[in-house]
Amino acid sequence: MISQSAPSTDPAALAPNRVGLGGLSVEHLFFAYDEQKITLEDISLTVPEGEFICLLGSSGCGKTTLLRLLAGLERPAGGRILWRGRPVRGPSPDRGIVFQEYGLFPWYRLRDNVALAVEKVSPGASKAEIRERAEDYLGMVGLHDAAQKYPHELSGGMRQRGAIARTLALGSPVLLMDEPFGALDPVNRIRLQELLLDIWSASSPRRTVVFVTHDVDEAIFLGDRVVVLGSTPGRIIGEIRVEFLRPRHVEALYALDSFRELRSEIGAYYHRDARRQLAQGSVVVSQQEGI
Amino acid sequence: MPDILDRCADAAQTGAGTLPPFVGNDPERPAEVTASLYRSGKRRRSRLVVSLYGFSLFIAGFAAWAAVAWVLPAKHRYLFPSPWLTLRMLWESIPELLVGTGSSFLILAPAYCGAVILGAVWGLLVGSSERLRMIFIPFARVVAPVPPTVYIPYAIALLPTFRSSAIFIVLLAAFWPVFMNAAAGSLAVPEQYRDNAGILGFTRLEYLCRVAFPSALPHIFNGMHVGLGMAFIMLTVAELFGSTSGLGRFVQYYADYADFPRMLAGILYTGLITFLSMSGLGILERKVVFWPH
Repeated sequence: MISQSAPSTDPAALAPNRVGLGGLSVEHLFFAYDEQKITLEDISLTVPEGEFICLLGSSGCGKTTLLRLLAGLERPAGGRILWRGRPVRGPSPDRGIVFQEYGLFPWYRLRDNVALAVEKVSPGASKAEIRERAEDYLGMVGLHDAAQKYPHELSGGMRQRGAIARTLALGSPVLLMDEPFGALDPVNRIRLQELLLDIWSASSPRRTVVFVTHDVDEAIFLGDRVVVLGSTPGRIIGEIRVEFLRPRHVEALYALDSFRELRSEIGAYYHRDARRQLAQGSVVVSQQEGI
Repeated sequence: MPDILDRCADAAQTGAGTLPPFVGNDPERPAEVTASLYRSGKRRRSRLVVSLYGFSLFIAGFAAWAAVAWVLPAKHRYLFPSPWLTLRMLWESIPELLVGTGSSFLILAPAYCGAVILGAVWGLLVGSSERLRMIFIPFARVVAPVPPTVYIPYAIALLPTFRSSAIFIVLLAAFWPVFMNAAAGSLAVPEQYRDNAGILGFTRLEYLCRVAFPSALPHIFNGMHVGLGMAFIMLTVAELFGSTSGLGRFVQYYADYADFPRMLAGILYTGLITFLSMSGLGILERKVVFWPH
């Protein structure tokens, strides 16, 4: 077993199927909010350290639930989740999470929101030091000038940058992201996707990212691997490795024939699942996404 | 999916990647700001019109009072004095009323502050712990609705001075609404805030101070408004029983001597003080809870 303090090796050197030796692994996970309906059925998944994985699924398929289980915010009904070989028992600064909205506390200034995380990581640091470090993290997401603002004074995109800055300040080796750009307009979304990739590739060792989305293009643009979830009950229906070289550029990527092929391949899983649901007469209508 | 092409076109036009940092250059911002300015301007105008109507209601009430006092036969006028006489009595009684206000606030201030602090702290603790909730909420459901007025005779018999028994009664009356609302507020902390606290690794105390307390503040202020109203009621009622000075005492004293103009002046003055205290609390609330909730 790799000890927690050991620096992680080059992610490419870690074979993806070495369960339990570092990274995040999910073994035969079951979950249900009530006894009538199973939310997640027999999910097994291995994410080596430093991998960027996208969980793709339509609304109501349980992808957010899976992310909450990974964070330790929910307890599995069956199976287990391991991080670096140790079972996940509750939320921890090891696994930072960025929600779609309301990630920042509205009663604190942006800087103080980030400072909450800095304080946790370096107890005993002086107030001035904490403030300075918090502002450094805000600088990394291009929000240095907004440090004094309150969340309600910022746009949705800026709030999400703030939430990312706070998770970075927490120093979490695992970054869990629950449709973080889902509420943004397309231009802002692409810019934040690029920012996220820049930050992820610049850090060493790279963080392990689990990114939940229902947008096929977003999943392909960001991920090393796309895991497609089907619904009722939520389960893995497909896994596709994304081989495009990094750094990736949106315009260049979208122009590639191989990108379109990949998109239709992933789309096929989606449609098959949707047809199966229609046949069963159990289409989940989500109010949130207005589908 | 034709939107991919649109997106590429968008990105090409705006030159994604070479744009300056986000601050002050956010495409969603300008429209939002203009819209909200427009809306608030409109709302402000209609609010002015409504408050003018409200003001004219005061004038109408005053005129009706004057008319009734003028029409009444002279032998009833001592029971129903004219507004002019009442206002003159109010002016003449101001020194006495100020002394009474001082003595009333010596009861009200410590009792109300004590109730707010105890109610908020205990409410937050109970609301955020399932075990404390199960122990304390059934008890509170039974005890809270008991009208605090029924405790007055016993409190006066039990406690050494009138002041201490009045403080106890007022504190009890203001405590329950603050406590109930604080407990409801800390129970209603949005899931995201709780999740964030867990991931940030907050201790229980940190959670209470940094998340539960600010998040429950709007609820606590609701309780404080109700509690302040209750406190004024209990204060004046208690003063009718055994006090030697104070606002309630002033009214009772002149009623006993059938000096109804002065008694009415005392009622008007007490109403004014209550109104000012309530408005002060409202201003404080808007200052403290500055974020949208």
